[in-house]
Amino acid sequence: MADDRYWNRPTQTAPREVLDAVHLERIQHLIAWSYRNSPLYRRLYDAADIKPEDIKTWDDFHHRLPFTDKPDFLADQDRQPSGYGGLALPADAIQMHFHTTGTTGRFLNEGFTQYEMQKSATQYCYSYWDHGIRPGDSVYFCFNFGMWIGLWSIYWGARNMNLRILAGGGAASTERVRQILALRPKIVVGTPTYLLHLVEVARQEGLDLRDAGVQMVMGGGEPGFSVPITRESLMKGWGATQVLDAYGIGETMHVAQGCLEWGGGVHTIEDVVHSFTADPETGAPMLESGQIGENIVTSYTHFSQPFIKYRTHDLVQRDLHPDHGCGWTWAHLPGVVLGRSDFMVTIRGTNVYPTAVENLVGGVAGLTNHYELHITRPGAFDEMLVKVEAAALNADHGALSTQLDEHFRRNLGVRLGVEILKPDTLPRYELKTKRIFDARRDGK
Amino acid sequence: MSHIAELEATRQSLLALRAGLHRQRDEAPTPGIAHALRLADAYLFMALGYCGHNDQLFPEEGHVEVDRTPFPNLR
Repeated sequence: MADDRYWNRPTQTAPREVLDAVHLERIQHLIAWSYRNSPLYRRLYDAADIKPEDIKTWDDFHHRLPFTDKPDFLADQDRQPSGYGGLALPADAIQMHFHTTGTTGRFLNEGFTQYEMQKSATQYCYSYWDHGIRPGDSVYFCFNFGMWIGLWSIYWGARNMNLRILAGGGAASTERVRQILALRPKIVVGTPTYLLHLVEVARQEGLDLRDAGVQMVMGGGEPGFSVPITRESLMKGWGATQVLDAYGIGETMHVAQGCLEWGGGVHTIEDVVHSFTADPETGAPMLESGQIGENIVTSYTHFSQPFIKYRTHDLVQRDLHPDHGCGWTWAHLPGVVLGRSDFMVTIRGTNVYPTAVENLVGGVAGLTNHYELHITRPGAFDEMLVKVEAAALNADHGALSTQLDEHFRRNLGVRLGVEILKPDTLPRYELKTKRIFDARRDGK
Repeated sequence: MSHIAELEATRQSLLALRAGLHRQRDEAPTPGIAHALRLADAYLFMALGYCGHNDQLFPEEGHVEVDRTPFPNLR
């Protein structure tokens, strides 16, 4: 048993029709639970004139059951004294509190019970095990832990597998390089851009991370681990033989991951989540392999705050019958996330929607709605400079800059570059104003 | 037999084990022992999940639905 390459062979290699039957049963159960216990779901389903017993088939699920979306939960969050949207358990059942990165301009609160943290952690074990990672191996985290769930989930996954945890929080990059070389972890966790940045830091210090004996680099938070050229750079820079990508949705607490053979993307962990593809415009299911559409998920790790038929707004291509040699039958997403329904920038691992930035510019008195967003990638990271015109000719640019900087940091969870301009500095357009300048697309 | 059905015997054994665990938990002589057994129940329930168990989705589900009160198991 211990030499089985699969963490849970019976489900991990089950035929599609068997998996689908288990999914439908679980979804029906979850719908009934949520209808009985979550005021949000009761409202949504009553408004759609749906009762749990109406969802008998996949056709019912796809065509009759309403989608849920982040605004549903945000609106309910505002309504509930608990501060959580969609809750189906008493708030004091919550063991861990997180919130989304706020990239759409607002934080969605996420609460998880003790069991949910343990259960969601299990999903990392499938890939760890497939890559030969075993209890007792060590993992180094290049992160400071905050209220974003992503890194915590990897930590809980490591706990679940009984890996030795090496916390690199609070350390400068040079210090982390030295710690990694001294501690020789088997796995190092970070965003791809930060891990490449560490390679450069090491070189500047006259050190070589290939000497650390790292077997695997992994993480998430931004694209890269499934981009071939980035994978090659990571393996070359770190001397690692394995790169593990993880694509997760924090609020639903599911994380798709790569297998040992790596088919160019990640597998959904179907023991903990059901997902399908839908047309982002019409909502129509796209059930044939290879079609690109929006990833719609139903989570089996989150019952205190259920997410059923939830719109991720991530565009994916789903292969329902993967055949790249791993034997996993779970759906595969080649290329992982291919795009967003709206435009996104990743700044130091935090996803930022330009639309959210635009919405926030108007939140500081003394500024105008004449602004531009300049996106560049001068080094390893994306950067965004926000240029805004002051309303008054004699305005205190320093004070306005400080206020706007703090406004962004508080609402987005990340600092942006800020430049206050005199009135009438920026060009005016007769038709649609050009406000976003993305130099990355031009290769600059 | 190569798929989920092969786990049915395991699932039944785990359910019997769980019933015994619940008895022990309910009769636990100290809060410490009771809490340790609740943690054991959470891990046992994960094993049931690997078997495709769908009668409940999380360990305390039945209890919560009965009286809708906060349940210390969950913390």
